[in-house]
Amino acid sequence: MADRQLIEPDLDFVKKVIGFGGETLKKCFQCATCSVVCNLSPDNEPFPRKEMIWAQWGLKDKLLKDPDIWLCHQCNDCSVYCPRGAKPGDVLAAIRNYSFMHFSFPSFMGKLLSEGKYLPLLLGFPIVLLLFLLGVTGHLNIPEGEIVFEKFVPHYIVDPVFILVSIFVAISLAIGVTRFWKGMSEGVFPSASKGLSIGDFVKSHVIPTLVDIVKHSKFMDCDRNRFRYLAHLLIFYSFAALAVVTGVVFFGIYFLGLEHMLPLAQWNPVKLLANLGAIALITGCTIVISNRLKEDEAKSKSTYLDWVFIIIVYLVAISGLLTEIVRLVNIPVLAYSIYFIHLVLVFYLIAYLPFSKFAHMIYRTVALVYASYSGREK
Amino acid sequence: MDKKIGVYICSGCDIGDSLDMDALANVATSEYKVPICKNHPMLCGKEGSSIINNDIQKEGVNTVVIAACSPREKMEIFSYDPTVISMERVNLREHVVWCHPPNDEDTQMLAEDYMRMGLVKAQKMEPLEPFSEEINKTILVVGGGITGMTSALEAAKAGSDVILVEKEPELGGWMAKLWKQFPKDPPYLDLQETGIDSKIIEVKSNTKINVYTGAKIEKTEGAPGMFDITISQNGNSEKVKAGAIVEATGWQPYDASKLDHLGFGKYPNVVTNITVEEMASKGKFTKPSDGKEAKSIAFIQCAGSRDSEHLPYCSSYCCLTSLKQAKYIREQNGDAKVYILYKDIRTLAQNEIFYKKIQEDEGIFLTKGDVVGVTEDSEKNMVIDVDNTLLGENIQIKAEMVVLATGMVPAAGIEMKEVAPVETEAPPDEKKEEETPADIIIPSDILNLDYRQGPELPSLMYGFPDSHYICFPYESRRTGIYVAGCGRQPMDSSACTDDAAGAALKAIQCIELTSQGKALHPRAGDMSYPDLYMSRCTQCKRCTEECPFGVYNEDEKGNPLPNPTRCRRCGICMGSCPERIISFKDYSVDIIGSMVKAVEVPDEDEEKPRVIAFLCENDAYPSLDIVGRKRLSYNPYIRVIPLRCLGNVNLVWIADALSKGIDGIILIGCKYGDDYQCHYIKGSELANYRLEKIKETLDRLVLESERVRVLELSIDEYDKLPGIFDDFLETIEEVGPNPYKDF
Repeated sequence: MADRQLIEPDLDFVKKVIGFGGETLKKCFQCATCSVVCNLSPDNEPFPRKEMIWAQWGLKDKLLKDPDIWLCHQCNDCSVYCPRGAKPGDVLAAIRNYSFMHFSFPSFMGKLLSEGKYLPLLLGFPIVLLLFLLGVTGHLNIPEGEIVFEKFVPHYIVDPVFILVSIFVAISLAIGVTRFWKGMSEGVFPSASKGLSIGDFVKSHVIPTLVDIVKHSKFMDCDRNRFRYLAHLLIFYSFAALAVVTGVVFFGIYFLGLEHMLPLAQWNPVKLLANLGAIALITGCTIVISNRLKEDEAKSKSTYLDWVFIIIVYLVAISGLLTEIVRLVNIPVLAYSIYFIHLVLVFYLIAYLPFSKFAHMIYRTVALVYASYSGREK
Repeated sequence: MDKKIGVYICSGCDIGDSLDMDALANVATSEYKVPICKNHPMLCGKEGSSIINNDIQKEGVNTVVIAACSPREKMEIFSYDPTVISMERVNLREHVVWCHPPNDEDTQMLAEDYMRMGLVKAQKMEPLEPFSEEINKTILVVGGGITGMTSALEAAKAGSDVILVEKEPELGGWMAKLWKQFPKDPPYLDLQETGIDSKIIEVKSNTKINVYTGAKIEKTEGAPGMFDITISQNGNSEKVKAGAIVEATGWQPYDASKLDHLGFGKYPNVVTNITVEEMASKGKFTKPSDGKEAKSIAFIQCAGSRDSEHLPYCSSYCCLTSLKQAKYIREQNGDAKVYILYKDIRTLAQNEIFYKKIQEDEGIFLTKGDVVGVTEDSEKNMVIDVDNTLLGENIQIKAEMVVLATGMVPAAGIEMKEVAPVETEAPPDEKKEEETPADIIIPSDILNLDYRQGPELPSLMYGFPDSHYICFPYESRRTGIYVAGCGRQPMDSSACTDDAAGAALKAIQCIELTSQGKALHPRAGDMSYPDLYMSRCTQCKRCTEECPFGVYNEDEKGNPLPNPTRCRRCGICMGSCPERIISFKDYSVDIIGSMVKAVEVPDEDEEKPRVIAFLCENDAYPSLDIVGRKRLSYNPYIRVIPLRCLGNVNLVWIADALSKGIDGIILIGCKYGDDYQCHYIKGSELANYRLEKIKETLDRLVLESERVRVLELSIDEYDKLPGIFDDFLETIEEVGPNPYKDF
């Protein structure tokens, strides 16, 4: 029979999803309350009901090709209303984690990022790398005089490292996203609008999606997400601001020849933007962390992946701001040490982006574009 | 003994304010020449009731007529020894003053008619003489499974001697074949031992229980309190006596070989849940085809159950059993995959907790769906096609072994398919006249009753013995024989133990009441029983055929041989007898006929029609009491006569009423059919069939057949009664007055 699908459950996949925080997935008995209460779920084949049974049955293939898992913004209404105590919100989060780990390249990195025991190794790598480069170039000392970080870690050391890391991240993400897109095209929701020109595709699917993301409108659709909306918005825009700052400085140094432009004066608009970004980031992270600590476990439970990501972001922001403060109060040893820590954390954040929860930024965007492209959006 | 009637009229509860009490008393004293007629404002009080007791003791009153509230009220106050005192209650409160306008001519006429009817009945009632015979108090339990053993132990603990007969060489039944059972105690999470071994020891060591294993019942003769049972064991026959019987013969799995679309019998790796229990006790779940461990196993639920082609009902244990067996398999092998394909998961009561627990096992995959077929692929894997699954599509599953969760067939119903409904042996010329659906009695070789109507308990549906399920579980249609456990309806072992205790108590109750000459429910405590005036019997066999309880055996000539202890005192035989030779001392064709004749019929020009309403005392009569309590009003031309059962209606009453000028007769009984509510199973149904016949007679008499109406009513429909009466009176008005009025 042609229309009959052979079902082969993958028991390991079930165990993995459970391990990533989906421990309640087996409780589902398919009443569909979750799909009914969800504000984001499409009318046709709504999530998260079908994802729940696919996950119960270990139907990895279906789930990896499913854009719907990324349509969820985890307001957890489903988990609150579930009569069986299953938490579809957490289960979808776990599947998302599994998904980007699965598509990421190289795949062993995913494993390193997902287990706490590898954290020292992951942090140790940039420490050793930086110390080695500083040692080799004779910079393993505290510079004299006014605190200028370039004296401690010259651009020719730090920038190549981050440029290489960025290229690695870009390649890794490109491979992951390509696999992901291909998977979705072969999945349950094939594209309805094939043969679109690139221009039209960008115009009718990419740009509206990006506008949605910039406006955070999906977040607003979930009634329960108001607080998370604010926090996520702060973090999102602070990252944007800090990216602009980084871009301007990079442009200044390498294109305008302002090799010694740093540190910028406090009144400099770029500096102001940087400070604003840092404060917004700290505020956003504080809200997120306090929400998570207050969170009722019956509704949702944060996993290792959730915690390690938000804490790294938080520490990046704090260490960045501290670096500036200590520089201004002029305590060289402390300033240079904190700057070193800041660099290590930034390395963690950027280099491991495709394998950490940070990857959601890319995968969700791609999934939302696909959803729009395949007519999957509500 | 001479009758001395005392009439006591209560004027409380609005009666005195609504009626002319003197005129009412006059009916008794003048019309019926009653020597004592007293009036009291509160007859149910201490003073009131002592008036009656005084008259009984000092004045020699032996027949008491209480004209007050419904006979269903104050029963403990107006209670006299029926072997000495006859009592009749006239319902002035619920049926007269509470539902008709006070001090109205019609209301007064109604009350006076009821007084006349009560007096006539009182005149004809005789004190009761309870049936007495030597009673054996032993309880026979048939079946040595969990239900039978529990029943035996419960009866023994209550002090009864018990005989336990089991056909297998060992006690234990199905429970002894289970490896473990699903949880029975809080927190309902873990599998439990069956505990059957200790129960077997308990039964064997109980000195009050006499166990026969490897034995069967060859014959059951007699009646409650005096059963003579022939037990055969090892080729020997032994006669024992018993007072009551508990039939706990349990179930057999549905024959899976009838399920060829599921591959049973065709592929060796399709097995039943019974086989899985055997595998579990051996500790290995191996494929029958090659003896290797099955790493993926699919359970097909409702295999043949809830299927009109096979077992139309749910057996209620299969879902839990499969969940349990899935657990067996997963405990044994953490990599095994278990599929459960169900129509609906039905885990009753606390068992839902166990379902939730099993559901959480990551290796157990559940989905609803319709299994359309099972086949085998080239690698000897079983391939199961399932439609409409929760996965959102039609799917195919491969498993190394398939388990069919088959349902329960009652032991009493195993042979059902092979047996056509038994035709009643009415002579050919009488056929079609009075024919109710024949009882289904399946010769299942369990009790081998020496009853005229058949060797086993009549079954209702699907081969389960007919019991009065609504009100009285365990009761069967053979008095003194109680059905418990899976033989009664599919259930799990804890429900079986509850059932067992209930049936044991019923058996004890039966023996105790029988030894006092009293009826069992629904007329519990009634000491009357049918008396046959045999010299006028024509051997028509209607009584022996129609008795729902098989009271009558027959001799070779066709004479009825009553067994009074089998009798429920419903009086259906009284209604069936064309010669009217079956009577009770306090209830007979003559008594009711006289009550009909006692109604005063006004002349035609008075335009006051009269309708007799025969109401079943179980539902219709109490419904009319509710109408009174709710102060709903209805037509005052209705004259109500309560009957033990609508099946009592003897056609002569209809003839009497019409010839006296009564304009219409309405008969209201309980619902009948598959979900019958008749307390005597088929009384109202019989009445309906019999009345079909009277309509032809009416037509012959040039009387309109609309004058007789038969209706069904359940007690919660009391509010329909006023409308029913109004509607009937309207019809009567259309038809016009009874032309026999002036004769």
